[in-house]
Amino acid sequence: MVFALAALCLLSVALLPLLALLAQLLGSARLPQLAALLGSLRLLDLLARSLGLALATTALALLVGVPLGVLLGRTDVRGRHLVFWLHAFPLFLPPFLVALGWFQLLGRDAPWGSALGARLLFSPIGVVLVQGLVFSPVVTSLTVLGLRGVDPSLEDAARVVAPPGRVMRRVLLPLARPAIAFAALVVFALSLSELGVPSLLRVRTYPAAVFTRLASARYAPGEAVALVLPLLAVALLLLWLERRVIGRRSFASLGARGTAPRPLALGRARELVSLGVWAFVALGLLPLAALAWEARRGGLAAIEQWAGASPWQSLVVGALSASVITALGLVLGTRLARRQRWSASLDALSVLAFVMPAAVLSLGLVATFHHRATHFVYATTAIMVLGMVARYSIFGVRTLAASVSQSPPELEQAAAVAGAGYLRRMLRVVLPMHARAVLAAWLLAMVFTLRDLDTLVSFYPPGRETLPIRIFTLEANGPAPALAALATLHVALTAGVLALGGALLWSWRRR
Amino acid sequence: MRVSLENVSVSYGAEPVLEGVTLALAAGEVLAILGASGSGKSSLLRVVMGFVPPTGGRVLLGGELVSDAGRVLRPPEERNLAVVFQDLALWPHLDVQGNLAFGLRAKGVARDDARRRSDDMLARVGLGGMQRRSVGELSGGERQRVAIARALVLEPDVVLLDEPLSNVDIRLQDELLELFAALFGERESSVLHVSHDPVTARRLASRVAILDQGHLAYLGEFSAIDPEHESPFVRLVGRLVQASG
Repeated sequence: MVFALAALCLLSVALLPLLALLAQLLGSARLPQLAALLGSLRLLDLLARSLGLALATTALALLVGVPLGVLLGRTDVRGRHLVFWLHAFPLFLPPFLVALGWFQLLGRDAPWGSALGARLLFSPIGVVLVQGLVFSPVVTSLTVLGLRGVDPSLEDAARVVAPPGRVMRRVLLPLARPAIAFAALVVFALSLSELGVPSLLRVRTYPAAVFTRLASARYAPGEAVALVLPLLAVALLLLWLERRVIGRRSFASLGARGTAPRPLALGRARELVSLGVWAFVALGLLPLAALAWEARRGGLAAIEQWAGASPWQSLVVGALSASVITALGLVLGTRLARRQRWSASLDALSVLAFVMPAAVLSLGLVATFHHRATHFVYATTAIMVLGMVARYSIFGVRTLAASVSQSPPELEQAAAVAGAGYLRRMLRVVLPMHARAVLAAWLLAMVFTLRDLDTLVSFYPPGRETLPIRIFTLEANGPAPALAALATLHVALTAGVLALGGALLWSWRRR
Repeated sequence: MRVSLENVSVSYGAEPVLEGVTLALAAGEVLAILGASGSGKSSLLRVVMGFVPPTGGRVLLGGELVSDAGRVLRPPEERNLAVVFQDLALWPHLDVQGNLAFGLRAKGVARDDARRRSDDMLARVGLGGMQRRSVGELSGGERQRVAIARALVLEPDVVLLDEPLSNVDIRLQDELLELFAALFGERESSVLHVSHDPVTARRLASRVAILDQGHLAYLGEFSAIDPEHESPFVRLVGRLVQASG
């Protein structure tokens, strides 16, 4: 019964929108015109450009993330735990805030600004650099987890006969490949969805073309629906890749082993490598410092007026969505870890909703809930929560699946034999045993909801905008110090949530 | 190669797991290491492998000091050791030949030579023609043979057996013990065989070191175990050996 409810919830927020979208398109009286629109060379060119940007971003994120993952996950770089979190932090922010920070540093009127710097920033290269650096922690984290998930005896068997470098190249990294491949897929999906960075840096992309047909003078929702079709095809291709190349191994290999592996000694290179890593990570945080600096120029004084209720709305949507995502994750993730019926299909659906460009999901939700009968959903915070649950349910499902798969199924079976029903087993056995994973899933879902712009911007009800939407809509004509102050507020909000959650996770670990 | 542990102690944090262990085995000798769970058997192997520095004492291989109190002087890959792990630890992303060739290539053996030596060793353990098979496709017995072949193809000075027979049925155990005996007879490798089963261990070794709560409680011939020994575990081993004839 509980599983059926969870499955129904996921189906109605992730599958129903896709079906509604297709039904709307097929039922359109302008089908021939829309088909012709899809064939236009200009749009195909734009699609190719967006795919190219996403590929380049993924390549850069891999180039940065894999070596950093190896260094921070398996060597004795100084302060590697702290530097890992500092490196990861920008990932938890809307990427366009980081772009805004780079603009404060490199824009024409900025202290380090120059015509060349500005030209570079406001170009496809700038988009790739900003996105690649912001998304690289996805690769770093999954590389670290992938390496930590390798069976220690496989590493020992190699270390007996080969030096650490060869063991890393020939044994550990190949065994961590599913996790790294999954990271590449996530980065590609995130970059293809990204609306904020290209819009801010004035680079035209396909998702922006969809968005302008929904939220500008060129309002044409029918065209928008037609335009998302190629993106849907890309999403299905990504899902196929995930199933074919990575499949179950991606979460199975993410279960970190109980004890952290011994760090490999860098020897004489330790100081130099540590310095390089710290300098690189500091570079990534520089835009945030620039935003805080700019905010000091009068932006902070009027912050309440500029922010309005948006910070509260962000927190409410975040907390509600994260709670639903975690509850779904507990039910579906446990089922997935135990390889029970329907779990693989529902997992695939949550992957599809995540890798699907945000524009597709947003339009699907509009097509599903923009009716008189569902006005109570569409005109309230509920639609925002549903959107976030659809997009980020994967965090709950996969985090809990990875955790539960580390514990033997006999623990639940023993409780069942002792007479405990499903709900009692979940609440008294699974939940307490995986409490840290539950909190981690909640935290992950919370920060990703806090940072979301691409999904929510297309359908947030009037007066319910979150902080990223507020900043994004002010970006075109708001004063720079006010924008910087709002961005700094968002950074502080995210840091606060992460610090609180991190402290809780840490205290539970010690207990 | 002669293996010597002199007054070796190992602690993880404040907790001692091995205390003052001294033992030696001659070149070509097979020594069984027995002990209950948590007695320090695995830590002893890890000290010999060079993964863990001894907290006190020293380890010598062929007369060369390789680990001294708090320091690993020679890293694992330079000790010319081979290990057969309890869970076999076959690399799943490499095929059978890849598993055998990995160590040879790491030691600088040319690709063709590595292939030839791998083929010869696979034939020796009865797996000729299986070079390109994925290790995931092999039966339990075949996997055991690959693990043995992977260890011995390196022509190591010292072979460490970390309970490789603990998860196999008695028929396969018997086959593998025959294979071990034949292969070890051909070489001058010293063998440390960690086991929890005295009856199996006795088929390969005549001498045994028995660990009890981190201490070396007995070192000597299986046949000479005192039935009145002060350590209950040693007495138990003695009874089991006697019962097995």
